[in-house]
Amino acid sequence: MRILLVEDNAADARLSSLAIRRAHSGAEVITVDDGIPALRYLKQEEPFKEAALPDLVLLDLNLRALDGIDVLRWIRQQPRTRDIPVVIFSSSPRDAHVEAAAKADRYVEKPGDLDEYMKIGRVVAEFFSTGSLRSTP
Amino acid sequence: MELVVHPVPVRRSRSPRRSRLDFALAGTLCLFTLANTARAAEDTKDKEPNVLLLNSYHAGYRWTDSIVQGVQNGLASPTRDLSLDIEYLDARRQPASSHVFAELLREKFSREAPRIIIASDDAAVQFLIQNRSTLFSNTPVVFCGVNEYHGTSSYVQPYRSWMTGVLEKISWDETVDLAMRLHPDTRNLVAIGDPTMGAIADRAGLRFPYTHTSSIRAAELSASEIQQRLAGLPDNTVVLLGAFTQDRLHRLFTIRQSAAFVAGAALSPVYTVTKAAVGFGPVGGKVADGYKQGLSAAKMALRIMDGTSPADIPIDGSGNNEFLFDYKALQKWNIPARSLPPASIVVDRPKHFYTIHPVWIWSGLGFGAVQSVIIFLLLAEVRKRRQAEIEIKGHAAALAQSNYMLEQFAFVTAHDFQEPIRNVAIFTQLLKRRTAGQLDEEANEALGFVANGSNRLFLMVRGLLAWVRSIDTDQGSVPSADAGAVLAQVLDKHWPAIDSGHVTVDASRMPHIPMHATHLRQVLDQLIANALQHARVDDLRITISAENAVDACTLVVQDNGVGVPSVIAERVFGVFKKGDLESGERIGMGLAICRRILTFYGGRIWIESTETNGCRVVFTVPNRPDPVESAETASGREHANPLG
Repeated sequence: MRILLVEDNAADARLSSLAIRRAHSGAEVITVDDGIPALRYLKQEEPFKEAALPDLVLLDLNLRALDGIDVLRWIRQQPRTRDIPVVIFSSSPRDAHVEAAAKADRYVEKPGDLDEYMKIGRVVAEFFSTGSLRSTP
Repeated sequence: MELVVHPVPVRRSRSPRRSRLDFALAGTLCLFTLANTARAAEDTKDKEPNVLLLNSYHAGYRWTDSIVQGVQNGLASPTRDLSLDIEYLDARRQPASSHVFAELLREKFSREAPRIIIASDDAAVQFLIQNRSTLFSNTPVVFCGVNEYHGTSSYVQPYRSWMTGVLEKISWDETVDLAMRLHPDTRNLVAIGDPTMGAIADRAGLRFPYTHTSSIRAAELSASEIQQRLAGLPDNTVVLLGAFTQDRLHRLFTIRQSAAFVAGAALSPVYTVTKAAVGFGPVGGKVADGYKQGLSAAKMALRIMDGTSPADIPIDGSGNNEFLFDYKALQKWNIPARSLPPASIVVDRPKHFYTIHPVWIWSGLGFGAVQSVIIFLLLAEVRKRRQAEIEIKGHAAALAQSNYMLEQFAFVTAHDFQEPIRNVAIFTQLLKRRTAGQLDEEANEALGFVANGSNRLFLMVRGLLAWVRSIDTDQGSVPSADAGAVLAQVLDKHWPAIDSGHVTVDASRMPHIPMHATHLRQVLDQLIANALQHARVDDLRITISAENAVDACTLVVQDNGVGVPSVIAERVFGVFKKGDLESGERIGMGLAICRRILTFYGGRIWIESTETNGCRVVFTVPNRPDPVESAETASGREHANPLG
């Protein structure tokens, strides 16, 4: 299981990776810290020319250079990537990013509680166990 | 005649009515006597002597009328009370009646001769000379309008001791010279009028030897013959019009009639030396002015009455003639005004609209001026108001900008703060778990405080962010929510708590509320949640009711819980303010968000609550909401700055 984690906050990136590996020990988590390296990875450009496409993208929205919504739009426009599941994992509430919520397979607001935060791992693991993601109401 | 009044004796024995009648009669007779006495006294008052104006022609003859007017104005004086008698010899129409007229004058003035006589034109002068011995033999005479071509200087000279006056100068030479200059192609000059016009034509022929000259004696032809002669004149002819008063058939012509007749019959320009003829067809000429003649004669008469001898007053031969032209005739013969002699007078110019309607023009100008002043004042007032409006808008814009900046600051701060604060909170929790059992009690407690504080800070920041975002209007253009449907969604969300807590919810029929559904949902969700969390009674009943009036919708969410103390009923709508000290980790933003949302729609929210009758939250939304962005009502202004 290969997961592309797009997260510019190092602490959140650490926690998210931890949560995913705890929920699915075999998961490979590739972390990039902005939308630009994320697109390079998805386009398989240097330095990711040999990389394989991810099975899932865990995407933060508020990035430093290229925001997550731009990455999501590109993913949905490209035939090679349009079917890759995307989980939005953002500090902002769902109704603040209506387009992102509509284009993503799941929208999860980052909680301030440790246990709640670690549940993101279960969301990702759920995908691999069932082959699908239940969209949040 | 004097009337002697004998007073009527009053008899005591008469009746009262009879006595009053006698008194009235006596009074009337006295008044009559007094009036006659005053008149007699008036008759014997000293008066200026009378003046006789003897005209050769008749009243209505324009030349004579102008002389009469000149004499009248010349004799008018505030210090003199002259009596002016005007008589007409009518020599043109009644040439053989002079002896009868003499008898008439002798009879009329038998009692008192005039003090002085003014005689106009030759006939009157000759009449006075002829009848001098028997009529007005001692009365000085001032003449005017006498034509020098009658040899005035010779036939008046013997009578200079009692006669002087003003000669009428006939300016035919100047008029002919002018006509030849204005019509340089002239080859034929024709003079029409009385026999003296032959001499005029002859004189012109001497000065213009290459021009054929001739004359027409009007009295020797009929009017139709005159007309044929004039119509048959060759091209390049100029006609000189002298005075004629009748044709061979004794058809009479006034000056105006003769001028119009000749100018109408001739196919050539007509020139005249008679002022009265200008304006009736002739082009014009150097004309004599009867008014000036009469005026000068009157002045001479006054000098004689003051004691100057007529022999000492020289005969005035200057004439005072002037060039006078008719505008219509100038246009007809294409004579430009610039070619006329200096100081020429042009009559019958087209009147300017101003000349015809000066009152209307001045009235219009005055009205326009008043209107302009009013408009100017109004414009100045409008300008002042617009400037005031601009200033107000500027202040409002500045206020809105300030609020917007504050909101942006709050948003950015809250948004950017929440990540690091969340990190602190979570990793503190993680650290606490990792160090469980490894720290002493004090260190453990300290770490617990850090974890709780950071967690609370995270919640506050997120609550603040929710407050700032609460009136995001990216919800569509028409704010209208089915309150019934929204309430159903909210109750579905809280169903687990409602079901497990054995809570009764009563909801009346809900109207459409002029709000976005998302905002209405937030408000109802918060109020229902508050009721579920803070009522703290076993048999909680929540009642939701609505009333839709003309101006506003009113919704009420009421519970039968512990209520909110009235002293903090308003305070609980503040940011980070709570009404329940036992609310645990709740940060107190819920009601602040509700108020912000309702203020956005121009509505209100308040609590009617006591500690014994539960909590009653009422909120209203105007039926025509006027969204107010980034501004607070007076009731919420204390909470406008989220940073306190």
